[in-house]
Amino acid sequence: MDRRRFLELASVTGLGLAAAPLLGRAGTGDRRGGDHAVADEDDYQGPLFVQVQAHGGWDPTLLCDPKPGLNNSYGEGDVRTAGNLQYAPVGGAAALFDAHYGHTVFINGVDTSTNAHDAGQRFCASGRLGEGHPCIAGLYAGAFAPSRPMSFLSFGPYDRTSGLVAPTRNGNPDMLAELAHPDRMSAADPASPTYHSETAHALIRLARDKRSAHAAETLMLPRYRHAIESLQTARAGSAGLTRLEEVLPEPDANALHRQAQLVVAAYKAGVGVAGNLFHSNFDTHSNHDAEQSARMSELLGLVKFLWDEAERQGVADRLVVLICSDFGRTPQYNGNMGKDHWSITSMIAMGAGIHGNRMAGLTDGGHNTVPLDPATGMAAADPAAGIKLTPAHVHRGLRRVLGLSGTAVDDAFPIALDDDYDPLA
Amino acid sequence: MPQRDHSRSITACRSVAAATGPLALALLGVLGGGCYDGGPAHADPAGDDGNDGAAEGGPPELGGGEVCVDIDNFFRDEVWSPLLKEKCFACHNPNGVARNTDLVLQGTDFPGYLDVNLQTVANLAQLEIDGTSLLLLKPSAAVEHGGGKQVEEGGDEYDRLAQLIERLRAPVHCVDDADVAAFYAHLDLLDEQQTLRKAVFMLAGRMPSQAEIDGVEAFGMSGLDIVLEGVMREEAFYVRLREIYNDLLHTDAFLAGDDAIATVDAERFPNARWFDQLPDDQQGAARNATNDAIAREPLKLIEHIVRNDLPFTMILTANYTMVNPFSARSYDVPLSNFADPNDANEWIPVGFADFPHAGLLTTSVFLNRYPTTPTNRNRARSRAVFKFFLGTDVLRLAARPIDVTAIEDFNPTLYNPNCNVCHDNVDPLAGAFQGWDETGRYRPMDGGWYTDMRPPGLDDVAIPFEQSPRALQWLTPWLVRDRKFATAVVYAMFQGLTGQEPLVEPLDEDAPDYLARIKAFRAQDYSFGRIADAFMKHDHDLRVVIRELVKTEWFRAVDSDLPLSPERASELADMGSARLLSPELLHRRIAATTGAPWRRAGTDVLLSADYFKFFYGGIDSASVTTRLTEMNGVMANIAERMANEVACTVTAWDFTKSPADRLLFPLVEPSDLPGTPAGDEAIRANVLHLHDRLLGEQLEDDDREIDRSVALFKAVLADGRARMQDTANPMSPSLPGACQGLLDPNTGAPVAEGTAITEDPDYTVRAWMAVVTYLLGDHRFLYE
Repeated sequence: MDRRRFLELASVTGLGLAAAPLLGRAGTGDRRGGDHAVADEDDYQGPLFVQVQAHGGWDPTLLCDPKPGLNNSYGEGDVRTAGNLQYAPVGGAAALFDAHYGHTVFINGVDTSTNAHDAGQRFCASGRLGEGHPCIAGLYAGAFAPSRPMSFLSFGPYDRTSGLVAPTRNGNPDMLAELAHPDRMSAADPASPTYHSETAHALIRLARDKRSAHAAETLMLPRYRHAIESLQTARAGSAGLTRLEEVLPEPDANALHRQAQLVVAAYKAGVGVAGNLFHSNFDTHSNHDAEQSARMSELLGLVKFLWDEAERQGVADRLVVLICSDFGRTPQYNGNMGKDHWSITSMIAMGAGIHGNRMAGLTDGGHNTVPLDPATGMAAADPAAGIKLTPAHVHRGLRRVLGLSGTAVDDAFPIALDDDYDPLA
Repeated sequence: MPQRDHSRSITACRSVAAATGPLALALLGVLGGGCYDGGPAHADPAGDDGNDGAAEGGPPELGGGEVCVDIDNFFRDEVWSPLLKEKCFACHNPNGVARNTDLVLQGTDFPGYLDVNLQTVANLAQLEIDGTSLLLLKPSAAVEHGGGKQVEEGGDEYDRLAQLIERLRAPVHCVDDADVAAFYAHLDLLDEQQTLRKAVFMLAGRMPSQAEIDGVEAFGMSGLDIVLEGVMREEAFYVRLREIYNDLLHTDAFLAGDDAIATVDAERFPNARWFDQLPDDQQGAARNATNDAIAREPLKLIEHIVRNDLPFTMILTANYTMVNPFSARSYDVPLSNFADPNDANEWIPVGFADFPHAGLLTTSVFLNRYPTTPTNRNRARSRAVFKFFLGTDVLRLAARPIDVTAIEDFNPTLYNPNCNVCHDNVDPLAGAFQGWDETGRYRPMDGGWYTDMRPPGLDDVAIPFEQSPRALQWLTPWLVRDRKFATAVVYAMFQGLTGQEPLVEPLDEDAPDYLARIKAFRAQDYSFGRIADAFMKHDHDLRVVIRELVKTEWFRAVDSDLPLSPERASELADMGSARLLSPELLHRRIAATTGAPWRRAGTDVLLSADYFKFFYGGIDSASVTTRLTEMNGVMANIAERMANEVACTVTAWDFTKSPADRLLFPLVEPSDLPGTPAGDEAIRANVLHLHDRLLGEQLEDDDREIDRSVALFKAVLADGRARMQDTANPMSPSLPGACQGLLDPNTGAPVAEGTAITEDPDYTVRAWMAVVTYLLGDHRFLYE
């Protein structure tokens, strides 16, 4: 574009320049990174955070909190180890944990305090049992990269972001290239003519920016301001999609794995920082052993693929993963050889900044949570004085790992705990 | 495609005639302004808001200039909050030591707890000893009270209870409420014409006609009522209605493949797959048509009820389902019932013998969309009914902590407070589904319902044992009498019209925004409650709900006429829809405003999964069931491409039409250039028209936004004309091929002979393209 001509045209026709800067996202106030916020989020080199949700309620005793006495599918001698980690003999576990036990912590005996799917998913994803908090992936993306076009890629069930960032859903990946070049008449052809001249496109955007800025200044209802500002924010980052083209791999045959490919590629391209992956059908009220084991193997395969893909793209050293589920399954089988809902569960944290090769939290032989001494993380000498480990503890630790502690979003959506125990430290 | 819906088996149809178009306006002339009966409008405290919102039921019972205090508010503010919650609830709750007394209060997480608690207290207040209510005798320990003396006789709290008893004898329900009116004060609302535009688009996906605009301009809100009455009888409205309810029920998940056919009871209907007998080349089309028909039964039933002016309660009580000729073959319904046995758009109500229909609840796709298991025992189905048709999210009850280690009871869901907080609500209604098995087949249980669960029923209504084979059919007439059913319909329509979920009562009283949120909730609850009451009063006429909702502040608020303090901004956080259009709505807006859809090779790109449906936040009703409400970078680029591509498609094409037929450029010609009075006037006039046409903005001629758009036109024009005169590298006078006005984008047919536009010698067509691109990408176009 002839910049001089553009400036002249903008000036003489009255469009002018210097659009008023847009305000923070309405509806939430300025709740972003605070002291930790970066001046230019394109420069942000923080972690890639991925939450993997086992949808429906997994059985930790078939994974990271092995209880041979509560399962028909394996016995005492079948429990495996990787470093200091102990796990049940489920397919895919050895491949994952043998490779990554050093930065992996199993957190057992986590009390979700609920048997309801929605509430459990919310607690697992947001660190709060009640309504109102964004999922941590959305919190993180909203704090550090709200303008990136795929800042938070969501495939998962609980993806509330409280207006901090707009989640992005997956669609036909063949269309991504077209979306990277909305001005080209033939998107895939770099030599394609554009709909308007480069100058005209620039003039259109300038006029839009000024109109939006004026509307954001004058409209007072929060929802209207938020709509205008979020549109501007989305537009501001959308140009980055061109970089995604360069790093998108050939789609994997496995649909679950394609989720992981896109999240990693978005991070690699600098257009995304967080993702929610999920795998469903863990609600095994019947035929538990076969169904739960199969789903668990697929889930572990997904996590292993995620790590491999991050390695291939050269970003594994910045990957942080949280694996969790709605709640756990009952210690006993029901009449259909299924297991019902049980509020005690486990969570697994992996990656950069995680104090790994450890098992935190405790359960007894009946898969009840054991109160902990917050100073040591061990069983409390006096159970009545011990603390109950909850997803809130894990989330507080995760916020620390992700650099969220003390930020404006951390204050806006506080984790309410009376003790200092951090299972990730 | 017009839909034919026979209702010959129905004898209860109302005689209300559809009043549409000119007829409606003629009717308007007869009725004048007097037919507006108020609805949910709220009197301005100063009394000068100009509407007659207090018409219903007479004026407030203010009496001597005093402020009207509603019984509900008195109970909440003077009795519940300061007294019952603080002193009584600890014992008098469903799990407390007084759980077996006549005073069992519900906590704040119980849906409608204030209504329930007021009724409980009212019942207790009627019990007297020697003329004194137990409500006074017990807490003052004038008679035996397990909790001892809690209030002093003659004290302030005693006096509040005495006042409540007095008020219960003659309850006052204020027509208006000062708190609610204050909440809505100083809001800028859409005027009648803007409300019309928004409502017509949201209900029928089109722009209002000039006759409709004239009617509303002449008669205000009364005119709006009658115009909308006509709009709500258009085919597009029924499409929208199905869309709104599918966003809740998600039964369209079964449209894929033969998923819906697989839900049919093959033992009862052995010809479910009748098409397998057809020649190979006919099977696919017949299977698809059959599957679509079965998948659409619930939504078609809703449409049938509304189309025929039946009480909306029949969506759960109708003793039939809806069948077209293709599903008729699966169900062995004689094809002689149809005028055309191959017309998929001909639907009739059909009841099956020995099958206790309960409206859409007993359709096979509903039962399979909300399946159950032997241990779940229909609780998922019960939860769905609570959520969709009683406006109650029972899982919200489970949001409060439970202690699983304390669950050691023999039957915890029945006896343990950690569990029965939910199960006491869910399980009785689950029992009503006892006749349907895990795969949705009607198989009454031989031994009756489980004895280790609460008996089948709802609230205080128990289903008689002898009605067990038709338990659900027996119960639904009771269920729809509940005001919560009416409220749920208001919720559904509100969500459909605005994309917003209704507010839920905040539970955390310590939250910093609690006060703001509770004010907003109470105001909305008040408004929606009045609409629910009107809905019930008008024999559950769905159109009443829609007509009243579009008049509310929740639909019409666009701004405030006073600066907002942080507290006030927090109160108004959910006010005004500002809705990001769904792919379906954006598709309709493009077509409605420009005259052509965004389409490639016959495919509507915003509606196709192969293109942008999911990227733009669409749902498939199966794995993706929630719509995106926030614009992200990917969606921003879709909007950008849409604006470019649609502007290219429609600009030259619009100029090929005669000015009177043009939607976008009726006031200007490509030959009109700036620099002459006539040219400048035409350009400015058409920019004014474009702002109105595309954005719904009625601006003054000298508005800065008009200046901005005119400036954009001139700047692009100047740039283009300079490039065309560049001797070294002149820009072509020809329009790009895709942007030439050669074909009608709707039909693909050539434009009228001699009108084609392929050249743009003055560059004006491309400059107008830029203006159209600018406006199509505007927030007012992408949001409603």
